[in-house]
Order: sequence, then C-alpha cells, then structure tokens
Amino acid sequence: MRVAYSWLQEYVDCELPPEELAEKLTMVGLAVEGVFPPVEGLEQIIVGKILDVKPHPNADHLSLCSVDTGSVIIQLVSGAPNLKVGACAAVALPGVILPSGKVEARKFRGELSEGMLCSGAELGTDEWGFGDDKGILLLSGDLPPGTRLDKALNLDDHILEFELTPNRGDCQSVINIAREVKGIIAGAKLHLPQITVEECEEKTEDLISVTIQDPDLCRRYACRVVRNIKLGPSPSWMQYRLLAAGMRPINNIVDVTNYVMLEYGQPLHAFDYDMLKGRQINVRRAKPGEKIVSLDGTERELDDEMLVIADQEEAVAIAGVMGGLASEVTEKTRTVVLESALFDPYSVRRTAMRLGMRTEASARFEKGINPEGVIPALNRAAQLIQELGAGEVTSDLIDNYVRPESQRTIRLRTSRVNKVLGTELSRAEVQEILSKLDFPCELCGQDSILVTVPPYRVDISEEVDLIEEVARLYGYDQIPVTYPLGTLVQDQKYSDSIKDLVTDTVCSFGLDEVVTFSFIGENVFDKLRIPQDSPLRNVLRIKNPLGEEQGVMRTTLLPGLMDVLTYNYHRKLTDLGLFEVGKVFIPTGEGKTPDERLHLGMIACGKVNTGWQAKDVERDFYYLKGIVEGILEILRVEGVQFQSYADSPALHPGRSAQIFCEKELLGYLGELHPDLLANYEIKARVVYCELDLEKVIQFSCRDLIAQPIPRYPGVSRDLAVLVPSSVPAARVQELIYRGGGDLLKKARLFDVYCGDQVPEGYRSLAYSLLYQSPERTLTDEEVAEIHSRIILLLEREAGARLR
Amino acid sequence: MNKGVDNRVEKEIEKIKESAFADLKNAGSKEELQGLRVKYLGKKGQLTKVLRGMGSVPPEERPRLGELANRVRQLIEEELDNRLAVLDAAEKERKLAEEAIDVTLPGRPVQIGHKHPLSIIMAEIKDIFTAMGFKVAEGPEVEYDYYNFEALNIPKGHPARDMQDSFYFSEEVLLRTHTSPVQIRVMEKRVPHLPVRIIAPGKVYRRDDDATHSPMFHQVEGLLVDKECTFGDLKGVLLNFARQMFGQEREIRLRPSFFPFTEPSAEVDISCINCGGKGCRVCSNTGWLEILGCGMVHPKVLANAGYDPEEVVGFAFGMGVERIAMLKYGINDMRLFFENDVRFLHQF
Repeated sequence: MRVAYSWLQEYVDCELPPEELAEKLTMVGLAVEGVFPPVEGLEQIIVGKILDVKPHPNADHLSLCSVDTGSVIIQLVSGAPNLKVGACAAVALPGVILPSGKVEARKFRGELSEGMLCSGAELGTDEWGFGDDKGILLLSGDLPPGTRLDKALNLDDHILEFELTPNRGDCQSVINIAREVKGIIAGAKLHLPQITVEECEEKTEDLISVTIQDPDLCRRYACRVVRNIKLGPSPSWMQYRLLAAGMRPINNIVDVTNYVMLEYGQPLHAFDYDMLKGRQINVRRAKPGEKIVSLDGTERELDDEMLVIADQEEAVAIAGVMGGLASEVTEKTRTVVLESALFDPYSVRRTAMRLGMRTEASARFEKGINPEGVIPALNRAAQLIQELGAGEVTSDLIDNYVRPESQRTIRLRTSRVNKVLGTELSRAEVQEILSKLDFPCELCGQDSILVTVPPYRVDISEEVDLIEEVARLYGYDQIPVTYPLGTLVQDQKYSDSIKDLVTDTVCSFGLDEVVTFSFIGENVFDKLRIPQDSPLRNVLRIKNPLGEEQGVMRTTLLPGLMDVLTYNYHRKLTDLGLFEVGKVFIPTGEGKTPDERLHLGMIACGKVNTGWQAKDVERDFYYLKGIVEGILEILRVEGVQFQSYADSPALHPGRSAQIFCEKELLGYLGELHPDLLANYEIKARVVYCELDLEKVIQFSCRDLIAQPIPRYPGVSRDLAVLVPSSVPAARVQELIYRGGGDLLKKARLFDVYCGDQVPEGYRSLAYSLLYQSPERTLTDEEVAEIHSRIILLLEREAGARLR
Repeated sequence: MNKGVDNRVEKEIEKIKESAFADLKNAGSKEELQGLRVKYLGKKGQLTKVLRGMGSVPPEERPRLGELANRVRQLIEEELDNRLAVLDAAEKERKLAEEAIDVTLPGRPVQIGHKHPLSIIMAEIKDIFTAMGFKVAEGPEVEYDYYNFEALNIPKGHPARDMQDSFYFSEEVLLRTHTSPVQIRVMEKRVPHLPVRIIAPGKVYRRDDDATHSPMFHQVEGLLVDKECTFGDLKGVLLNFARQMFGQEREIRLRPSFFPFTEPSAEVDISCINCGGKGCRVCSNTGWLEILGCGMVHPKVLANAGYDPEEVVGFAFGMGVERIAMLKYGINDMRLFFENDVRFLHQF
C-alpha cells in the first residue's frame, strides 16, 4: 500500500516530518518500508523564464536561450523544438545530478550553456503527467523564476510505502491509516469526507434489480446508477493520488472507483449499464466451464466455486477480482452501474489464486473489509462523479444486506492485560489508550472494560486482540525488561544429541561438514547406478516442487554429497573429505508422514597432506574405515563387523563392505564404482560411507565402568604368519584371540606383505601380541605355551605357516 | 751426592709437571687426554717412573719427594679432569649445534575438519538458551497440516498461509514451513505439566529460491509456557540472547507485527552490529537489523495443545539461523551455505 503524505494529511492533523511519522507508524505495527518523493531529485531543479530565443550561430538545430533563473540571467543552449519566449521551463544548473548524469557548464559549438533546459523524460516527471514528448518541459501559468520545480508541479510531497501484516487489511485504506496516525499523535483530530449525494428524480430500482443467489459468498451487494456519463480524464489532483498509490489513471469514472477504493478500502466496480442484459444483476456461482473475458483481455475459464456477477445471461465480472471486458466503461457508455459489495474473503482469495490474478480489489476482499463501509463508499463515489460533472446519480440505492454485522463487544480485563504484558497499567490508563483509537469503552465491574469494536477493525474478535492494541499503542519499548521466574524442570532429561556428538567427532577426524538440500532429483538414482528394485528408489514425492531436480525427498545422503564433491572437484579442489549428518525420509504410506532417519554420510577422495616429511596418504577404503572405527569407538559400539559386499552397482565390487553389528546392518563403506564416477566426470577414486545413526546408537554402550591399571608388566611377542590370501584378516585376528585366551591382552597387526619370499597365493601378516595377567608376572614358559597354541590354531584352522 | 740426587729428582718432578700441564693445555680431544694420562700417570708413565726410581734417594728424603710426586700427580689428575670436562662440554655443545633444525619449516599437518557455519551458529544458539534453562527438542521435518498450520491458528484459506508457500506431499502432509509445529508436539506431550521451556532447532522449507531465500533453511524455535510469564520476560530473554550472540553493547527493539500463533506479536531488531545504531549500509541506514519474530502464545494455540489459556501464559520466538550467520560473519549470499565450496567452509 502506497499513500501520498499530502493525502493522508487531509484526513488527520499531522505535521511530523514524513520519516518521523514512518518511524512512529512502524513502531505501532504499520511497517513503513520506504519514504520517498514522487520524483527523486526534483528539488534541485528550478523554474526559469525564457526571455529570448535566438538561433545558434554555428548549429542549425540548436538555439541560444536567455533564461531568467530568479537571481541571474543565464544563457542556455537547447535543441528542443518547443522553445517559447515568455514560457516557464525546467532548468538544471551546473552541479545538479540528473538520472542521465551530472549537469555542467560547457560549450556547444563555441557557445556556453550555463546549465540545461530539461524534458519531462530527463526529469522523470512525464510519468506524473508533466512532460511533452516534443521537447522540454514547459510549465503552464506564470511562476516566479527560481521557484523549486517540485513545488511548482505540486510534487513536493512524500510517498509512504507500507508493508502491511495480513491482519491489518483495514489499512489498505487511507482513512484507516489516518485513524492510526491519530492514535499516535496526541490531540490530533480526524477530518473525514462529508458525503452528500444529490440525486436526480429517476429511481434506481426502476433501472436495475439485484438478486444474490449465493448469499454464502456475498454478504452484501449495493449499487447505484449514474446517468448521462461524460467520460473524460479525472482532475490532476486525483490522478496524482492514484499515481502515488501506484495506479494508472484511466478515465474519470474508473478513477473515481479506484480513488474511493484507496480512500475507504472498499473495492468498487463500474459496469456499462447498457451492456447488462435484462437490466438485472445476479450474484451467483459460475457454471462449470463458464467463460469470461476479463478486463485485461484474457479469456478465463471459471469453476463452480467461483462467484460471478452476471446479467440475465452470462457472467459480466469475476466477483471481487476483476470486471469483464464486455461491460467495461468506454467512450460509448451512457449509463453506469456502480457496485459496492462485500464478498467472502476465502472465496475471493481462492478464485484469485486459481486464476492467477491478484488485483487491488482481491487483495482487499481476501483480508476482510468493513461491512458498514459498503454504503459510505458507494455514496462517496456517487458524490465524486457528480462533483466532477461526470454524470447524474439516480435516486436511492439498492442495498441487499444478507447477513448484517452485529455489534462486537469484548470484555477486556485490566488484570489480564498486566498478566500478559508484565505491566502495571491501571484501568483508566488502559481506557485512555483505547480511546486514542476511538474504541468506545464502558467500565464494567472493578477490573474490566467493555470495548465496542469499530466495524472496520475486522481483525479484532477476542480479548487478546485488544491486549495487543493496548500493547502496541502503549509502546513495546515501554514494557519493562524482566526475566522469567521458573521452577527447575524435573521430569525432562537433557537429551544427548547424537547429531552434535557425531558432527564433532567426524570434524575432529579431519572431515569438513556440509549441508545439502533434503530434496533430490529422482533421475539421480540412475546416475548413481542405484538398481531399479532398490528400496532407495521408494521415495516421497513433492507435489509442487520448484523443479525436477528437487522433486523427491532423499532416501540416502549420497546424491547431495556426490554433488558437493563434484562441485569442488571440478574447481580443482581434489583433496576432499566431506560429511553430512542429516535426515533421510522413508515413505510409510500414502497420506502419512515418513520415517525420518538420521544418517551420517562421508565421502572422500585425493590425498591427506602429511607435510614434507612423509609421503601423502591416500584417502582410500582404509582411510575411511579408520574413521568409521574411530566413530564407533567414540560411540562405544563394539562387535562391529565389516563384510565384503560385491552386490551394489554403485560400489566397487572388490572394495566395498557392509557394516554389521549383531547381524543388524548399520550401513556400508566402499569405493564408488568407476562407472558411477564417470557419470560425474570424476577421474579420481572416491570412497563413501553411509551409516544409519539411529541404528548405530542402539548399540552404543553409554555406561562405562573404569578398569584398574594393570599392576604386573606385560610381555610382548611378535608373530608373523603366512596365510592363504583367501583368509580374511578378521578371521586370523579372531583365531589369535581364541588361541590366546584371557592372557592375550591385545593383538595389533603391524605389517601386511606379499612379494619376495612369500609364496604365490599367500600373504604375510605380522602381529604384535601383548600377554598380560592381572594377578602375576607371566613367565617365559607360560607365554611360549600360549604363543605356540595360537600358532597351532592358525595352522590348523587357517592353513597358516609360521614365517 | 745424595743431595744432588734429591735435587735432580725434584727438578725432574717439576719438569714433568710443567710438561704435563703444557701438554694438557694443548690437548684437543678426549683421546689425546687419555694418551697424556698414560704418558704421565700410567704404569709406565713418567711420574710413575720417577717414583720407581726413588730407590736411589736417601730414605730420609723419600717421604718429602714422595709427597711432592703425589701432589704433582694429584694436580695433573685434577687438571686432566678439568680438561676432560671442558672438552666434554664442548663436544656436547658441538653435537647439539649439529642437531639444530630449521624451526621455520612447517609442522606435520593435522587434519582439521571444519564444522559448517550453520552448525556453529546453531550450537551457539543452543548453548545460550540451554544456559537459560531451555531444553532442546526436535520434531519431524515432514509434518501434518494440522501441526504446521491448523493447531497454530492458521486455518485453511487464511492469508497467513501465503507468507509461507509450502511443499506438499498430499492434502495433509507437507514439509514444515517453520519450526513452530514443534511447539504443539512438545506441549501435547507435556500437558498438564509446567513449565514448558524448549528450543527446537531444525530445517524448514518454503517454495522460494533467490539470493535471499533458499527453499531449505534453518530455524530455531523457542517456547516458554508457565503459570506466570510476561511479554516483559520475553524481552528479557531475547535481550540476553542478543547480547550473548552479538555483543554486550547490543540493544534490542521490538516492533509490533503479526503471526497467527502469537499475540501480541513482534519483530525483533538488534542495534546494527556494523555501525552500532548510527546508520550504515548494512542496516540500510536504520541503525537496526531484524533478527527474529516473537510474541505471546495465542490462547487458541495453548488450547489446541491442551492447556487452559486462562491458567497458563507463554511466549514463543523463532529465528532464521542463516540470517544470524549472515549477520555474524558478514555473508551476503544465502546460497553459499548450500553450495559447500570448501574454500568457504574452511574459513570456519
């Protein structure tokens, strides 16, 4: 909503500088987003009187003008064809900055121009009706030279641009904004228009009849008829106010309806009476498939939930949204029907949305308008048309008021005001505050006030609405700062956030956290080589996505992480370790919310820089596996197994594993398949791991009992064995522990070797074993015995040979 | 003659002493010193030889000359030790000098993982509010219309639904447009107990995509419901938050606003973190920066969750995490958060 300050001042006493008023209005909840003059920079331009015009001696198309600027007479060079001696023109003196650049004194073909004569286009005034496409801006009337142009054109004003909250639809009305201004300026009075309509003898009801067929969508329908229409432009003051509000002037009839809409917040419409077949107006739902060409020339197909204004035969307007082209007011129009009605907000909103046409009218109807404002607005429009000499108003009006407004009275408790706000206001103070808004108040009991809500405040329906009125007019900044008192919460334990714990842990292992969108494109599954029958393809589809790329909810973190890896990789950032902790969404059935599971995804490629002393370490399978093991250790998850996994087309068949704990699948880890990487044009090896954290946490042991530090020294022995390559290291480890029994504290693998001196089909595994007893120092004999037991077991069970 | 022998022996001892001291002085290594020890004090050493030759000395002179020889031996030994110590020290020093390294070479790199700026800010917000007694709660990102709108006093067809254009899965299921549904879920579980004091961080979704809007972003919701709780308390909690987050010198300003689930409602501004309130480019010359929305919980919302709005009062607030991070780190494009360029991430 945009309003010219000068218009607002007509209705309320307010001499505040516009910026100050804007600030005050913002602080009572009418946010002013901007304050600006109609035309920027016009105050720098002055009126100059052209005293003489003579041809430029060196140029055919230029003239030399002698111009009186009020203080001095200067020479200006101009190429305009409309220079006129004795006329007043717009002059920009050197130093003035126009949209086209800075004006300077300079010579044109040897003749000095001490400034320039400006056109309306150069100044930006032509949009306001001040300009001449043939040349410079000439001003009518005799103005003293030196007058500021903004004053000369009556453009020395400010426009306030409001960003209204949805509850304050009432303030899409200059008068209702004026009421707010009155509320914040002590002693200010309102000066509302005095409405008087002079009617001619002809009776309205003899000319037209109105039937509301669908009263659920139309509470009130009123109209008047205006005869002997003399169509023409509206006066400049009206055009200015419309332009300031961002509306285009059309003709006096249409402009009046728009003007009154801005003034009262009541949308009006004017029909060409002669185009209404059967001299009747039917307010009814559209017939299925019914069509209408709206004022903007577009044919619209309607449905049976949309309300239309129809004549005997067909729809002539989409109620509350836009009129029809057929009944538009034109040069040929002799008689006009003025409509002022009250349509159902939800219905108008729905219709406007369905048809994709939000109009000034629909924006007002859908937020709710004043039921008692229908007639004043109608009469005001009739009055203005008459005053402008644009037509004659017939006598009486038609008013179909199906469901009249009943007076709203709300009981407001002072104690409640103070309880909610933390203030110590007296009842008198509360009443005083409400009186600023002209809310009639009546005291009731010891504590309460019966407040009658004015009909234009459709947003107020209960006590808390009044508390808000009190709070905002009292001033939020006046409410004291206090701190909550409260009991300690006893039955809620602060929940450990696994998300935070995992994030911190993985960061500490050197991976960078990323955040990606929860929605993905469904086609990414093909790109990622996810099989057609994979459960990952069972996705939740967004009905109205922004695009196909964001069409479904992710079931895995891989697409997002793969995109981030690719983004960076193709920017030559090829050493990457990235992770995301986020939810995936598993559908549970139509119309139900999905199972949201917290996952950890990690992706890595390139090398880990280990500095100048050592060779960089590859981010390979074992790099990521180490991190997984680290996470599981931090989370105290024990007994996790990595099992070779060759079945996923997304993964390298020989370098991937599924991760289990007690037969429950926690996730997977592996190198991504080269064909998948080729789809992303990535030439490096990439490793990926995804864990279902909700499952992982089930196995997390959070109760810890500290063990005593061993009192007796341990004995270390190395063990190197040749094992057939087909035997997994995990199996060897398991056998070592089994053979070692309780006294084997730890077996650490420190070397894996194949090559020289290792027979084909074998590899050498070297372990460092620690034997230790909590009760005594172990003897060499004891250790030797266990050690050989382990070797024996390895030989028997794993086909191992001692190296 | 005897006297002559004595004199000769005495002189010899003196000579040995002088020669030994001179040799010791010139010795440059431990090995040389070892050689000198043998040369003078060894079994076949010069001094030993003199002592052995004592037979030719008259017995009455022997004690005196013996004593003299021993003293000289002692002196040589002392000097030997001294020289040894000096050489030891020099050698140690040399060795240390040889071991010198270039301390300006870079250290062995440790792998530093960087938390996402949004995670850092969210953790900070959680810290501030948990210290004030708020518990962290969570709720689903895919919500029922009831929790996202209906229970929050936003019925179907309400214009306020426009403020939050939503992604739908079906008529009743959508991506939550704010973290406010967590309010309802928490209250439903807790009713009739008091107080309710939670914050709910999480992802939210709206159909918007440009430099200042992202279809997915993060919010932190706050809710306090108790027997006594006022708009003034809300101001106190938010002032404390603003100062912890943006500095002790921050002031806050509450402007009346509208949210269907709170009344009275407010937008909260902090004094500009760039200019302190004088007005600058960052705050569009207003001196203020909007950081969150808040208000007193609407009685209908309390009732929807099962509380008697006559008996309990509450306040709620919600803030955009991206907004706070952008202000705090001077970031001006929301898309940077989701592009995840590591050159951006590594700054945090």
